[in-house]
Amino acid sequence: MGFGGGDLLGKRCAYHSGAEATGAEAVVAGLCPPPSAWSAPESTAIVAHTAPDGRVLRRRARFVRLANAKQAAAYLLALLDPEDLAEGEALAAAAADSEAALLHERLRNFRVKATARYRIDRLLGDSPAARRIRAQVELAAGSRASVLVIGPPGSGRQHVAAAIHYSAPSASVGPLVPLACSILGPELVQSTLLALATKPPREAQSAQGTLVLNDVDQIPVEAQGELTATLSSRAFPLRVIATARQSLDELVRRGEYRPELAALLGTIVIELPPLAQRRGDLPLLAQWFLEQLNARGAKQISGFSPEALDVLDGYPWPGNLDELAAVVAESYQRAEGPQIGVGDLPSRLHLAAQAAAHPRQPETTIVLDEFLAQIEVEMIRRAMARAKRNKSKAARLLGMTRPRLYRRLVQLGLIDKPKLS
Amino acid sequence: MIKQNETAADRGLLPEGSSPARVIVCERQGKWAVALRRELAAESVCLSETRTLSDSWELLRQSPASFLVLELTPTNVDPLLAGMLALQSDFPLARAAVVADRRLAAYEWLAREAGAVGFLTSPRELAPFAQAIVRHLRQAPKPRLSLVEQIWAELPWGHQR
Repeated sequence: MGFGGGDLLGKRCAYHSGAEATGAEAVVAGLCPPPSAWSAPESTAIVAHTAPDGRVLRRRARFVRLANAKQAAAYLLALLDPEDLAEGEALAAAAADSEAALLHERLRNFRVKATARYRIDRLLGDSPAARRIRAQVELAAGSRASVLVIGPPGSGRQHVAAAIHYSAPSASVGPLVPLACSILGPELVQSTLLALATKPPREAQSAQGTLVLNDVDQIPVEAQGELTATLSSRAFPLRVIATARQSLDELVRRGEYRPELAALLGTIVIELPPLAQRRGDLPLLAQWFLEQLNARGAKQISGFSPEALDVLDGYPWPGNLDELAAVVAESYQRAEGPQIGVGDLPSRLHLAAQAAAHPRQPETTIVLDEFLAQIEVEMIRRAMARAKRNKSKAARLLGMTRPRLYRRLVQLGLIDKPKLS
Repeated sequence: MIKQNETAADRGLLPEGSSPARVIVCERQGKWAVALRRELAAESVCLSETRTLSDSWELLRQSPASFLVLELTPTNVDPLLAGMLALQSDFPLARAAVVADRRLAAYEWLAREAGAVGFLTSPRELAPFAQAIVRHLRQAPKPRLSLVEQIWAELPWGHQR
């Protein structure tokens, strides 16, 4: 692996190497054995190391438990096979070892992917807001204080929470447990927290895990007391990151939130602005989402036409970054040329641009009979389709007689009038 | 009282032509779908069953704000975890829970880390969880329907369950 024992000795291992981990630290991070290695004098497991080109390579290792002067298990000696395992061979080898080894290998694979996905430098943008967010995330990742991430829907609150967790120094990253407070309801949130407090994930005992309380502003005030008690208990094993759509201080002022819970959750507060307030980042963000699609698909699209970028710039982006990602994905599907043009963008973006350019005319009128006839045509068409063109059945679905349906079909031009011979 | 959280922001995330949110149950045999239908009997919920993850993703493309119930088996752990990780960026309005045989209980925290809002090992645990599914569906943004589509959706035979 390119390092001597002296380089590796004394360093702590974890399931993944942090974004900043390089060299010997990254190697040691990959050497982390399953917890079962401590319970037997000798065991085998698959360990991983990162090659200079970024590939994660795996080798079989034999772990020998060593005791200290007091005869307590204190060290593990890892003896590595000289050859790397082929891709896919690692999971098979782990499966053959034991269920625990397989879970360990999967956890490692997952953490490697998650760590790459949630790197701080993936919080893109060159606007002052983007730079501030990256600096705050970096600060929060180096601390164990509670963090509150506030932002409108789609602004990347969960991404920021995960980036804080996975960017922590490599030796301290444990499990990440997200809870969706807005749908789980107080009972399920509380029972999951109690399960975490009484029987935490095994890994949380040796590494520091994170609880992410999503939409924490949605927890009803009557359930907040119990939540405060659970989270402030010394026995609670995880660091807390919360996300919210609105400021908890504002809710406290309105008497809708317990101040002690707001204080407990918000040691560090990170506010994410709506995308409309950082329009300067739009071209970079749109291009990044496009590159993700290019990397996956057979189609390669180089970018956006200047006119398409103008339309993106004029749209209010109520769904923020998530909406931008959805718009880029829809446009990518439609695009046939080398660039995404105005015509490839979803129609709601054009409608928004038109609405801004031409305010609605209140005196615009309709012709009621024509309007109702259009609806009738559509309903009869659909009933005929549902009835597989059987007029008697379609008439029953529409609550009319067959002769009346037939007359309407002819009158509305949905079937040809039979010619008289 | 469940808050109706839908906002213009959420609506912006629904691609044009999307279908309303539904429950998608992906499992081998159908026991979880049967139990879930029983729990959701009093609610007007559209529940679709699939047997493969790729079929579930296909349905999700049609109804991007759906709730997925995915069965974890010894043979699908890796694709399921990879899919869950991608779900957050590909379908930000969707949520997923993982159900599994008790022998796979050790995967609970890994499944949660991948984004599962719940991990169940017995259909008997479904009762409180069914309420979470109902909350998700109520909060999910509704597609913008034309007047014709709205009338169609109201017809007793107008939409397939």
